[in-house]
Amino acid sequence: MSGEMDVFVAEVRRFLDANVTRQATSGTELEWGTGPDQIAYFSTDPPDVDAAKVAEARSWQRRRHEAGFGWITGPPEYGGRGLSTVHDLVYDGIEAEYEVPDTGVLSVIGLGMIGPTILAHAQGHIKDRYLPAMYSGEVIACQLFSEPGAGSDLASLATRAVRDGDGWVITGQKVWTSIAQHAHIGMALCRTDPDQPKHKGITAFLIDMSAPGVEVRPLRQMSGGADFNEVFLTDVRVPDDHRLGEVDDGWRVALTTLMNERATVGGEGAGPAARAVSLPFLTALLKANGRLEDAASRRRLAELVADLTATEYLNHQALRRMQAGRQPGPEASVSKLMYAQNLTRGAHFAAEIVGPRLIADTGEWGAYSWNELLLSTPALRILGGTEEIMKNILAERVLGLPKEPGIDTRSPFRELKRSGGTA
Amino acid sequence: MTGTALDAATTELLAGSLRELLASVSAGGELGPALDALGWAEVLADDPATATTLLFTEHGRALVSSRALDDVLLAELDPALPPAAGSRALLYPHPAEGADPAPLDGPLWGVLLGPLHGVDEVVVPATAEGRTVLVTVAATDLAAAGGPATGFDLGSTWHTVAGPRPPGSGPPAPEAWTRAVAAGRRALAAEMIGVCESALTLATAHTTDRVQYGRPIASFQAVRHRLAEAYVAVTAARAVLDAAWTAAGGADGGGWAAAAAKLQAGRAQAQVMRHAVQVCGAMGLSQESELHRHVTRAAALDALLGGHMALAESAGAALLAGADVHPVVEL
Ligand SMILES: Cc1cc2nc3c(=O)[nH]c(=O)nc-3n(C[C@H](O)[C@H](O)[C@H](O)COP(=O)(O)OP(=O)(O)OC[C@H]3O[C@@H](n4cnc5c(N)ncnc54)[C@H](O)[C@@H]3O)c2cc1C
Repeated sequence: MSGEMDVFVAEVRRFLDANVTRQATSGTELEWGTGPDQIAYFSTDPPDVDAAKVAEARSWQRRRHEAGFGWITGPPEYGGRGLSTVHDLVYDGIEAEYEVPDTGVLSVIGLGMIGPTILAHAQGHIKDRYLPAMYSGEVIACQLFSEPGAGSDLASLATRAVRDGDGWVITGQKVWTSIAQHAHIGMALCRTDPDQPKHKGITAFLIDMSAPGVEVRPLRQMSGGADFNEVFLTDVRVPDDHRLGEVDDGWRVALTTLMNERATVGGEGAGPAARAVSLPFLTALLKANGRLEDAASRRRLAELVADLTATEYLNHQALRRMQAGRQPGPEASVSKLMYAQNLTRGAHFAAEIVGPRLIADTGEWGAYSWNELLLSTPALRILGGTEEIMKNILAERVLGLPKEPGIDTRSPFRELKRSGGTA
Repeated sequence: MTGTALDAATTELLAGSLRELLASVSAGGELGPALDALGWAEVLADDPATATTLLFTEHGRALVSSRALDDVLLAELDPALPPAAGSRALLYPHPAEGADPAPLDGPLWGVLLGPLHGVDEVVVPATAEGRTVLVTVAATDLAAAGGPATGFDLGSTWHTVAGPRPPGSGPPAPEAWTRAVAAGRRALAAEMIGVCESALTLATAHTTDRVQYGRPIASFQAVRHRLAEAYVAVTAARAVLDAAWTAAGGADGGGWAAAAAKLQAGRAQAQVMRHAVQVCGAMGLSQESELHRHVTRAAALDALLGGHMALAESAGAALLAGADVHPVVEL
């Protein structure tokens, strides 16, 4: 390792040692039966606990930022450190040895997806206004893309933005919006010209979530969590400088977000679910259940670990490419697919080991607690682009197979058939 | 089989009446009186296979949680017990133990399918010296040890019982217990099939209505193949259940075939729910949709009296040890 990197590593350790404690157990050894055994993917905490955790996440992000680790790869003019992806990975690797608050509420959507989109498409003063605030934990961002009638077929979205003086007025409904209840801003895709083909008449905006006309209503998930929402937009006024990219060119802007989404979701490492679906945890699970000698379990464990390793490596490669200035391409769908499959297989593997103790609580540590992950994994195969859509992307854009016949991308949006009638 | 088999028209008519009846029963409510009014005892005596399958399939479809299953197992256990002092309920082995009753010299440990309102005594199977004994406990003695089963299946009325065991024993009845488990597994298989059918109906309707890319999503092969696979799984489960009924008259109550039926239905529910959830997208994941109730109910039913993974393991072991596969078609 170069001298410069040694200095960076020492700086990281100094910061972490001064602010947080090291994890009691090292990365490879795990003490079964001690500590909390919650294996949730989505928050299932009551609102007050949830709010406290968000506050902790923001405060930890602020401290990271103050110490120069809030946005390691970001440009210095917007509060970034201007270092390489390797520095970022090194930081993450070291931080994982410490007990730190989970900052997923900030990092996955805001810093992972919307931040890069703002950086690429917003006007200078808007970047000044939001990027440092986001990467210092002050501003949380959500993604206002999906609508009741536009899920996989996102480009068929119908929320309208109409020009009004020097701004815009937005009306429509968004749905399944993660963490909208905590967000200060949202990135919304809106229809600005219904007479153009569906991909052409879309414009992207940043919306102030506290503006009049924005209403957030929680939806409860199958796993019990309530961290996705319906968002109703009624005559919400947005200044024109909060537009991202050109008018009617929002699909290109959205692609920046979506590519980062696939890379971010696929590349997610931390959190209780990832900790559970890991070699040390699953080994401890087998041991606790007397299954270490079981050939089928060993084989499945090894296969899972191989897939986890492959996914991790793919993500590192993708990050390096991003660092080299290349946007993640259709191959990011591989990470997204594998990530969802890994957690799903991990949950099913555990379900097989713990059996009915996963359904009926026996009070045993590390048994019933798997139920939240098991009930969350179906969502992973849907959010951020469904499994089928990821496969279509790989089939058409990577393998070059013929396109699904009969999909209309040419007619004006107005004439398209949509759920609940035409637009 | 004793009486006259129900014909298709009568079966259809009965199914309609059952649907109405089940739609009106409250969670944990008693089905008994309404079934009596329907003359169910007679139907059951005429054609137990069709009647039981029909009742529990509809029970599953309607996502009703009741103690109807108790009657199925108690019908096999009652002859081995002293006359009932009032109405009876059954304590099932805790799902973590499969179909093996807890040891008599240990604490109480099991599940009730509903609260004990109006119940006088509870039959508590237990294991003593390797055999099943049937202990009868006053409902009031059990009440303190039970509480609603928390968590997974929020719509169920199950109660977990865990606590000190009241003193006393009862007659050994290993054969009756084996027959009761077999009968219970057939009914549970039918109930899981009902939950699956209803989930498949939801998913079929949703994917036919929902338009993405200008067409119903059910027109995409990826979607329709999942639904077709789910249908195959349900059909196979129903076939194994029908076959299991032909063995029900055997000395052990058709235990082996009943286990196979529950195994197949348990596998079907895992597959059907996975596909149904996937094709319904985010809509199916939110609790606004009915789908999640099917997912959790089917999984809970699978866990009772032996989950499909445990049943597959024991069936595999038995087959390798030379067990006969029940001949499905007698020539
Ligand atoms: C937990 C969670 C969090 C989410 N968070 C956000 C968020 O923060 N912001 C946001 O904007 N959205 C969010 N979403 C929405 C998510 O992006 C959509 O759910 C997703 O794009 C799929 O859309 P849909 O649910 O409408 O499913 P549909 O598009 O209705 O799809 C239903 C089924 O049809 C299949 N299908 C559809 N089209 C095709 C095709 N062409 N070929 C083959 N099969 C097809 C799908 O694969 C799926 O199996 C979230 C979703 C979940 C579950």
